[in-house]
Amino acid sequence: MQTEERATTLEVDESEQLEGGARRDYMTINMGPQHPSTHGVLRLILTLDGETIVKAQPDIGYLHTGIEKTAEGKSYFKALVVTDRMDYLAPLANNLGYSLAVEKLLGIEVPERALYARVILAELQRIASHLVWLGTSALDLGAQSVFLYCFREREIILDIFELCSGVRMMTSYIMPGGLQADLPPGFEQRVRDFLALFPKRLREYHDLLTNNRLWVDRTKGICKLPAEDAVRLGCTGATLRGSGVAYDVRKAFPYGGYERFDFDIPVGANGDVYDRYLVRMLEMDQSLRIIQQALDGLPGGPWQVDDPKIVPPPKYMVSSNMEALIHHFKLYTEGYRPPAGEVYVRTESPKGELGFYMVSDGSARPYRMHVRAPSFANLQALPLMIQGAFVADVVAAIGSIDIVLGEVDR
Amino acid sequence: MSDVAWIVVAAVVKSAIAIGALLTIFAYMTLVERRVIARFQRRVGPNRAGPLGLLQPLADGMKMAFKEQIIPTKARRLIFVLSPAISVFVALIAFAVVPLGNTTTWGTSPVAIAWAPFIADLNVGVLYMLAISSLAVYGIVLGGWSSGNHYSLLGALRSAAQMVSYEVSIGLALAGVLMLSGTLSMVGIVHAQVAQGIWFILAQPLAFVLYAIAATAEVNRAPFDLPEAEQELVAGYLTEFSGLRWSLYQMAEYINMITVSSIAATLFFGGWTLGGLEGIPGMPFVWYTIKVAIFLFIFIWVRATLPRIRYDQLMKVGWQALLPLSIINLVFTGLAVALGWPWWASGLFGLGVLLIVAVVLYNRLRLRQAMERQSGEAVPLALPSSVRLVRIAPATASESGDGVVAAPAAPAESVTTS
Repeated sequence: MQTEERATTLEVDESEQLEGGARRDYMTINMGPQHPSTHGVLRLILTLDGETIVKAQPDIGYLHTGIEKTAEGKSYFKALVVTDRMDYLAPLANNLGYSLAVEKLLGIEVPERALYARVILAELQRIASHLVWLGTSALDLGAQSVFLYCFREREIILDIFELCSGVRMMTSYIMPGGLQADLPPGFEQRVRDFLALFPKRLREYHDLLTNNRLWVDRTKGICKLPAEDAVRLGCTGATLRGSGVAYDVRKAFPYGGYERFDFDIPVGANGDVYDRYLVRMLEMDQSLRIIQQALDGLPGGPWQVDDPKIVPPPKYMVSSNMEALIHHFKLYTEGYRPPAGEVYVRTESPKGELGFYMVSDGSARPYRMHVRAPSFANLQALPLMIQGAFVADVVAAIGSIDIVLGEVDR
Repeated sequence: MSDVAWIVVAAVVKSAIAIGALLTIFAYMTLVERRVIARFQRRVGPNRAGPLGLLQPLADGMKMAFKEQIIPTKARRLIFVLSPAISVFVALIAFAVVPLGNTTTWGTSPVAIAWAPFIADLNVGVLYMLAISSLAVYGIVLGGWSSGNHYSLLGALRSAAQMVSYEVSIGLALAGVLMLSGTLSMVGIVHAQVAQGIWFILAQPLAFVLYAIAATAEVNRAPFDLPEAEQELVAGYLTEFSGLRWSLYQMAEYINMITVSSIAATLFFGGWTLGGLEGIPGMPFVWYTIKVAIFLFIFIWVRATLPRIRYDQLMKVGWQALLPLSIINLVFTGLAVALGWPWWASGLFGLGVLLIVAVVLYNRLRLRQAMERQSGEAVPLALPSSVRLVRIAPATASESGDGVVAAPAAPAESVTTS
């Protein structure tokens, strides 16, 4: 009796009556939240007909951190730190978006040196994030060595970040008003070394994957996302560009000095996994170009706004200057009060359009901080992509839209 | 004691040695694989337990032995417990006909013959091997099905389809060799190679390539490791197995690798022979080991390099590429043997077919990725036509947001390309 019950509850979860008395049975599997390739704690409820996906339903919220709400309880100065934790593979990109939003609220402009440094760091961060994406998405398709090669190069970038801020990942190095500290001596040389090394390594990845027949078979024409659907669903970043829409915030709504640099936007045509892959691969090239230009034009001078109400005074002054001590105390206890108003600032994070919507009521804390997270919007395209695909394609699709669950659930 | 008793003793002793050796090789094969893959990936690999990590297999074994062996509530207990055993059993007995050296020459009595360096010289050795390796699928299918887990079930089904498909190609690929040698006995095939003065790889290059691909699929190794594709199916049919049962499956996989490598070495590379050097006492075993070790290394190498193929593509390769090619090879070899053509006739034919296939595949890849790059600066690399670089003039008005060059809704065509 019990055996029979088992037999029916296990293999068949749903069935459909076809004409002619035939019956089609479906199987439901839960992919995630604990699954090797859902890139965190994404849960997908898949209805399968054999290995073909009939229906897919993403279920998010397993990494809910309440970052938006937390920010409302912190001064602007301190809320910066929680933004690091959203897209934890690209903390500096989050810092940049947040800082730009707060600066817009305050109505301040950062000095040139900070502008250039931010561009360099943001592009390095883009490469680092893309490297994690490349490694993990290749790993999802079974190419395990690429993963470790990518992390080898990412290590160099993280070392540069550590050199700047003392922290490898959650740097909070870009802050409203400029940078936490000046770029350290040796920074330029380290970045130049990386610029010299990385194209060769990038070439190796191309050699391993781009024309690899198995890789092409696994990605070309798989999980297509038509351009109209991509736009309709609010996809941005490489997910959108892979479908053939040339939209990059750095070009469309230039911010933070990007209009000064010469770079191109890779755009796909088919909207399949392969095009998204190539778009990101080529983006890394373009990032290198931007870094090169920014590094060549990196000016000297101050790296923070000259306003002790917004940036903390140097430590040595705190112990010798009464004014500085007061500023220091006020900044860390109370913070600054931007005028009431609301701003929306969009940046091109490695994942797509990262928007910060900040509302100030004139107090020292944000009344509301809403984050338009690219991963969240891009994830919506997943059920559409994998409709009718195979189970094996699901991991390819998840890899190709490059989600970070910390950002989806923020 | 009678002759029969001595023969039984010999068989038992040799089986015991073979099983012990296989299990040891399995243990060290895991270590070698981890170390070698680590080198490929610029890591160090396990090197803590003992010098060079040589005690690592022992540590792993201990860990596995003391792990809790979970049986899921939804599992069918008896089958769940039995299926790993089936896998290992089948893997072990398949090795029985692999010759590690020549028949004994120090006597013609049944007892003397019984101590030859192989457990049995069946006159249907190759057939036996094929039959036994077909049974291996039962261990996996039953294990996956009885786990009561969807992932396991999917893995098991994949495995069943995969093994059945590739079994056919293996059989047909080997048939070419059998025609040349005129015997099914593994020892006989090596003797035939010595008698004809060639290794059969020279006469049957196409069959060897087909066998190599099909055998990789047969033993579920990368890039054909779909049944246990960890990124898709968690661990496939292995998902619910833990402790010793899990390691039994691993054991079966590695022993199967050794077995298919042995078949390749025996049928295509002259088994224990090496141009007369097998006459030195003790050396046949060394040559055999070296040959098998090279194949095992290639298994690891491939695993470190290639991405995994998809299930339907795997089927396509099996039925639409390997099968027709192996039939072509079979027909031509049959003709060559029937008409008494020399060995290089089928050898050249095989090489020709391989060349044609390679050219076709290469051209197809080129065609698919016909390059037309608009902006030739960044990477000097051939890129597919589908992705291009778009040059957008930087917007002049920023901040206010009216500097939209490519509105989100604009399709790609409206964007100016350089």
